[in-house]
Amino acid sequence: MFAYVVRRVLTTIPLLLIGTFLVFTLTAISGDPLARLAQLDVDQAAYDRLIDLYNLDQPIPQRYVSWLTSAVQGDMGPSPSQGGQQTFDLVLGRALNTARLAIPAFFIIAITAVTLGVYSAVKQYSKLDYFVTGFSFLGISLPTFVFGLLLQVIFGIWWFDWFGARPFFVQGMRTVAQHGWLDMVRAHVLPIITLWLVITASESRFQRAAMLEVINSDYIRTARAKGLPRRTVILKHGLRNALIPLVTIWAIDFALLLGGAVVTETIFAWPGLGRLLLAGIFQQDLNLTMGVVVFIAALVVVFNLIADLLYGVLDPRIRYD
Amino acid sequence: MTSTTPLLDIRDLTVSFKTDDGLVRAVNGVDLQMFPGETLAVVGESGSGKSVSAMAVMGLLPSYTQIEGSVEFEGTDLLKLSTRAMRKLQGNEIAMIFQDPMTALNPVFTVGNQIIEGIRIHHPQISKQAARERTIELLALVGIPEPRQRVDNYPHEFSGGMRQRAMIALAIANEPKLLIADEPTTALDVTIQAQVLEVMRTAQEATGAAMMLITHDLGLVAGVADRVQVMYGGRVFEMSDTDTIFYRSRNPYTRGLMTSVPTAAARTDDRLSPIPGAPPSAINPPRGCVFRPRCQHAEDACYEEPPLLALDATGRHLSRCHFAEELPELGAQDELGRSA
Ligand SMILES: Nc1ncnc2c1ncn2[C@@H]1O[C@H](COP(=O)(O)OP(=O)(O)OP(=O)(O)O)[C@@H](O)[C@H]1O
Ligand SMILES: [Mg+2]
Repeated sequence: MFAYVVRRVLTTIPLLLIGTFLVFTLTAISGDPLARLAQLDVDQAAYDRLIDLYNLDQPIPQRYVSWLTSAVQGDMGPSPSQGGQQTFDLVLGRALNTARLAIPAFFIIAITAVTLGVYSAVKQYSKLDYFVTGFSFLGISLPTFVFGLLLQVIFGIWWFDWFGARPFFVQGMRTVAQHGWLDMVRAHVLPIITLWLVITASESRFQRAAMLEVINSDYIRTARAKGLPRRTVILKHGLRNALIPLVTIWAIDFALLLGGAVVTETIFAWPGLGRLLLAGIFQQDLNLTMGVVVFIAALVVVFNLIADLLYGVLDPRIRYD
Repeated sequence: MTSTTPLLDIRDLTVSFKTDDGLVRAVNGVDLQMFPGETLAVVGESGSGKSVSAMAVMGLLPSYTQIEGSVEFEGTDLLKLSTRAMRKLQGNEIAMIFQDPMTALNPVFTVGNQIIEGIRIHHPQISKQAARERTIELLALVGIPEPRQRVDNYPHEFSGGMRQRAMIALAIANEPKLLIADEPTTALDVTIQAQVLEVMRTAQEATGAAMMLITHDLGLVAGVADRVQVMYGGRVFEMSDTDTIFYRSRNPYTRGLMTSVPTAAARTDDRLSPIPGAPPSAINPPRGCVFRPRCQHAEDACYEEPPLLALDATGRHLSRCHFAEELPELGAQDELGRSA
């Protein structure tokens, strides 16, 4: 198993190299960082600093190599668009802010998606099933920003008009340390609900499909033929099997959540990774863009690995050797 | 054996499914009796309603099924039992072995734990350890080598034949009075079929259970069954003791089945002659006798549904055919499928 983990990590290295090279190249050719300076009234020294920072006098492959050389040593360089702060520290700080939404959202989503998926599969074609199917259709087809803005309108404007108060904050992050528990919760609710709707919609569909396949399988018939109570048949024999394919979905969703939800963070003015990435791209801050991208790539790699290991725990047919 | 009261007494069982294409009448007025300890073979082509009848006895039909008639087990009508009361019988008094051993066991639990669970759900007073010992005995009984090690294996570590043996062990774990085996050897290698059949007989002897053996294969029936019930199009076509079915069948469908069984035909160097045509639609069955379109002996009278005629005074030989009495005697050529 240890050998398996090592092998898996090693095989992701070429992937990471190709991925970062592509992003690096695309970012480098998509805009000229010097062009921004031209709009400001700066002296030649500022130009030189930027040329020196990004080795702009060299061809792109060589620039990539020098970026990579420092990056593997843990030096992601400074971020010119963020006042020259170290990219590494920036990414880490923002990642923590994103995690404030991602971690609770992930668990709430997983629990509701499993419950809805299982219920609608077990009661296929019932009213509840149609409700869940309709709900996921809505969640999948409604763009995130529509739902996020809708929540802001409801709680930020209408609620205020009717009741003269706002139950939740519609913009910005609040922490326990600075604002106390209540405000912290009030600030987290709406972005988490937004993430919840969008991701629960797709997860519960997967869960429903997985569960439907399982409850029509022969071993479920065997379990019923043994005289087991319905609960045991569905939860022990059914769900245990139907969770196996969900593990991969969870891993992807968790990695995406932790990597920053660009739209949700933008709507709710949340200082997370998603907005940091946007800033990097729009301001042609190569170091910053690369920093966020590498972080997200690492998340995907790590969570896929965790998913594969969990697979082995859940499914005895899988062996790692 | 036949004079005692039946263990299982199915009367006028009708099972239909509402589907998008119309009402599927899978079982249409079936009577079936089983007596303690006997082996009854239920034979018929695909779609004749064998599995559906068995599932009706097991209480495993989907909830949208319409069931009429009665299924009395030791005098209680199972169709009237609550699910809770039915669960007490499932896997305990009545147990079932399914066709495909590759998929019948849950892949994520060990074989042993699945059997232990089956024991302890009906006998919670038995300790885990005792149930485990019993499981090991059962695995030994059905011929699993090194049962003490194998008990902790997962299903995928068993071969197909071993999985079916494990399914048999599971089925007999609580010494049921009735064992229903739905094509238990069809999915297996020919070489393993005979072994598994032998294991089933051992298991049956060990528990004294009555066994309903559902199969396509008349050849398989010969050595095993006391009585045979032939089904076609959701109806009983013929019922009698095994010898009578093989040597003195009074039904064109049964006779057709016999000459269409490869193993049986090969044994008599006869040519294989499958019944022409296909089994009837369960939604729009042909008018009159459902076998009429495929029957060599069909006449105008066959546009009327034939009754299930008793061919002897005791009703031990029944045949659904207008011409049951008039059919020619079976010649030596036609005595097929009798295994040595
Ligand atoms: N759940 C269901 N919904 C609709 N139709 C069904 C259902 N189950 C069975 N049937 C139909 O009932 C008929 C009888 O099926 P059954 O499974 O009893 O046949 P069988 O004799 O066991 O055949 P086989 O030898 O192929 O197993 C078939 O026409 C089948 O399509
Ligand atoms: Mg069948």
